Amino acid sequence: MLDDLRYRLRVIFRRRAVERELADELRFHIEQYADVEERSGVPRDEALRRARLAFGAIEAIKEESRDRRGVGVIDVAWRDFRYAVRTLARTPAFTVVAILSLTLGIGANTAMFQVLNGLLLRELPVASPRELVEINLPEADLDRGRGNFPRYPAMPYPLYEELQRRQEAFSTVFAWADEWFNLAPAGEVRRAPGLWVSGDYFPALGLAPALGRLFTPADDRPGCGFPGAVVSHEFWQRELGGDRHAIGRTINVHSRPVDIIGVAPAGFTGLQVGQTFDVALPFCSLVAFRPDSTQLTSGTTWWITPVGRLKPGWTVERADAHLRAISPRLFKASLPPDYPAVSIPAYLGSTVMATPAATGRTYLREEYGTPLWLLLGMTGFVLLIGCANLTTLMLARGAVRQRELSLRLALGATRGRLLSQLLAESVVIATASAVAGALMAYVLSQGLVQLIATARNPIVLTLTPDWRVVAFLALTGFGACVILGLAPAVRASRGNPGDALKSGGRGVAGDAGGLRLRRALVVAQVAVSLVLVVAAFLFARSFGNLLGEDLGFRTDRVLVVEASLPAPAPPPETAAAVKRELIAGLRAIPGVESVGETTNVPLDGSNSSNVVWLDGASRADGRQAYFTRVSRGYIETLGMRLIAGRDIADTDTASSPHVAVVNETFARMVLPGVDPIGRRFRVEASPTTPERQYEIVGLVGDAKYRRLRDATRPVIFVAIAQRGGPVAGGIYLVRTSTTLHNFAPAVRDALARVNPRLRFVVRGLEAEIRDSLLRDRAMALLSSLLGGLAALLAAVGLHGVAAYGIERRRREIGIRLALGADRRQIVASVLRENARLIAAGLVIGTGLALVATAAARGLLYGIEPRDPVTVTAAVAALGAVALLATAIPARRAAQVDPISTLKDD
Amino acid sequence: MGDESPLLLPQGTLDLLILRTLAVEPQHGWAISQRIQLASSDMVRVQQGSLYPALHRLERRGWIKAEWGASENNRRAKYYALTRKGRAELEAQTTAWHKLTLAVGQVLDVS
Repeated sequence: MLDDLRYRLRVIFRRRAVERELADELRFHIEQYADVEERSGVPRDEALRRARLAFGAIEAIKEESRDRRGVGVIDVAWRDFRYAVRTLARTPAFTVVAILSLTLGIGANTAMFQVLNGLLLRELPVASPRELVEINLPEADLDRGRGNFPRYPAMPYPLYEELQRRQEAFSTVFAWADEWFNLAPAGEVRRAPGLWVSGDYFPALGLAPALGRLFTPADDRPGCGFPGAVVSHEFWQRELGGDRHAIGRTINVHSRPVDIIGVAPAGFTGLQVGQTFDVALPFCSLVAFRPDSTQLTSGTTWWITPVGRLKPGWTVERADAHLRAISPRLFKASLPPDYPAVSIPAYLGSTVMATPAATGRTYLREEYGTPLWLLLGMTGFVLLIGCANLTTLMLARGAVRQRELSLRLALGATRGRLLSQLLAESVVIATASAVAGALMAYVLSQGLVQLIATARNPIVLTLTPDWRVVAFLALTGFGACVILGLAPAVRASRGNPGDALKSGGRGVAGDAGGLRLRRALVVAQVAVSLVLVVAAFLFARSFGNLLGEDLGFRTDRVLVVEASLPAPAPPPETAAAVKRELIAGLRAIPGVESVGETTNVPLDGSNSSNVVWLDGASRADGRQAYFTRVSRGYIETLGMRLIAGRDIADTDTASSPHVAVVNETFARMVLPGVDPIGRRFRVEASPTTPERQYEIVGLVGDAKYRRLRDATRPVIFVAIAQRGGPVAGGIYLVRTSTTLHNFAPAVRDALARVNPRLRFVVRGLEAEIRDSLLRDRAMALLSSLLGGLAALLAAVGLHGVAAYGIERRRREIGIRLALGADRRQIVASVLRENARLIAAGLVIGTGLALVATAAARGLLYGIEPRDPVTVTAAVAALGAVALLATAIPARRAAQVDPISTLKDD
Repeated sequence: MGDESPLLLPQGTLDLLILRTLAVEPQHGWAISQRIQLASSDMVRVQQGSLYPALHRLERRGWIKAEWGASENNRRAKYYALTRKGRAELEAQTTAWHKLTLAVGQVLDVS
């Protein structure tokens, strides 16, 4: 047994010694034979010759002896591996180029997949994530819901309580809601992602604390006060330095000191993939923070997300059916007393449904799901194009080694052995690239995430490789290896050894096939890269359209200031006074041109809408209109165009008639062909305000409202002072005369002077709107990068084929030149030959592009995926690059020296 | 060398012949082929093409082991010797061979 092992190890690892012994052994045999011949009078030389002849194909015998040594797969693989490494080391330039380009390709693909995996595929790091089910209302029902929607999709707390009481599908129904917490004790706000959670949130997720303890249902009881805070592992590391004695330390949340009672386990970032939390608080603490808050009792504040854990034996489908079945009772029991009468039937007719939550939930998925798949497809194409170039290189390598291979075939090596040796080279290249690619992907994926993250909206994704990433990497590597190695290896091992040996170094008949394959590859490269170039052009133009879009207002030199007093809210008189001082303080800052208050910052994604109909018409004729409550100065600050009538004025107060300034679209839709000033309309009752009549006092130009991509909507600006009670604080837009960079500190000082208790956030409007285009910017940037890379790779491929074609025709060109052909004709004929390939690629590529770009439809703005101008431009651009790539070798063809070419023979 | 064409060895018989030859004393490849040829009155001629692969196969199975030594004319030669496992194998195969030839002979004689 031990002998056996020693024998095998020796065969595998003392290869050279074993080989030498085999050679010695066979030589001994031949010499013995020669001795016999010699004894019969033959001279030594002749004797040896005869001996060798009689012995037969010595290499074949060696080969077979090796096989008989047994050894098996490992040895063969090890042998081929070493052989491959040796051969590759002999051509370092090729090896470096091949590994480098494949590393880039595999790395980029893996990075893309890692992000995609982290965002879309990865299951939550909690106990049995597949049992988790998110409970929400369908979009249609939410759209008909009334009240405040601080989060979306979400439901009111009382509905959740009702749900807990009546459902039978889940062992627990817990809930959560995210909110930006302010961790600064005073002054400028320090925004931190926070979580409100029900007491059974952590137990139901099966999480164990990294330190201290997590909340239990006992913590989350009405009137609980401040049972403490649970912080995330990342927060504990970052803010508390991983202090083992962090329990009992206090942090400031919304200006209240709260004790830390525990640290959540590492890797747990909440149920929203892509977002994380710093601090979690129990729902019951909410009233302690905000005594006047109605969030836990209001049936019209839609803000929490319930999640259920399925009972054993229940499926998501069954739970969904169950929830839908009990929906009528749920909504009947939870009907809020303040619900507007007109909307009650819609509320009672709503349903709750179950959606699988194993991978968590995030708005990022809708935002970035398609883009990530598209980008992965594009990087995949780039890898393919790059692989095609390497295949060509491998083919060329095979051609160069044709003689060596033929010789080995002639000496008795089997084709199978040659094939596996040639493939081994691709395996070595692909493996090295996959390993390097994995490292590169790790860095690159972080960069990708940072590309779409902002300081205000950080994105936290778990990117550590899991089995999917490893499988992806292995598959990409394997695929690259097959593409790279198979065709050249099969070709190289197929040739007839005699032909190759006879023809010397020059082209063999079989080479024509090589050229055919190369040409086919180049056509494919051009076709695929055209798709990527079209995509790049489309995304770039779409981004350009967004940037160039007329917003209807000016964003430069506008600061957004959010200010508020900590809870509890002061009495109305104090609140009104604080507000007046605040606005006065802002206006008093030197360099401030105007200040306006608002409830919605344009283009920040928020919106408020209600049904509106003309006075005298019936509600049934009403239509959806969008609202922004503003003060005097808003329209001026944003540089909006006041077309007729007047702005909201300081004289529009709670006691004066309700007034409105409408935009052009509203006027056109509701009052076509009529002067809107002085007309009256009514607004449907909402949970906070009864049905009301407004008089139109002004008309402003259209402006973008909720998001840049939205079509212009009918918007109504109403006086913020005519809302219910005054609130101490709000959102202020400040237009300044100098650049914002110098200005923000002055605003901070002024606010601190006005009232030291004020909490505030200051940011630039322009930057904020730019941030809302991050996805479009990322798509434009990445697709341009990939498109450019694809075009470059295709150009390299074309150049190679053109150069090779000319090399093959060198003699012919030489003869033609010698016979007096015009050099320009030669160049033209070469160019024509390549132009045919390019044209074929472009035609196929156009067809592919017309089909493939449809996938990008939802992401494009102001441009159709089949936009003829874009497609034409892409064809022209890629065609020009491609022609240029072939023109260089074509010029070289013209410089062929006929004499030296012909002398070669 | 006789005029008769040499016999074709049935599959696996070469192994048996090698083992039998080595049962006498350790030998190198050349000598093994000569011995077999001699012992079979030139009826069996071993092709080098199959001898060496066979030797390596037997060595791998652990039936024979190899050692380098000096040949009669003082060349370095690889000597193969039967192992204990090989000797047992030889006995088993010899018995099997006898049984087989007997049985085959009987069948042929009947007809």
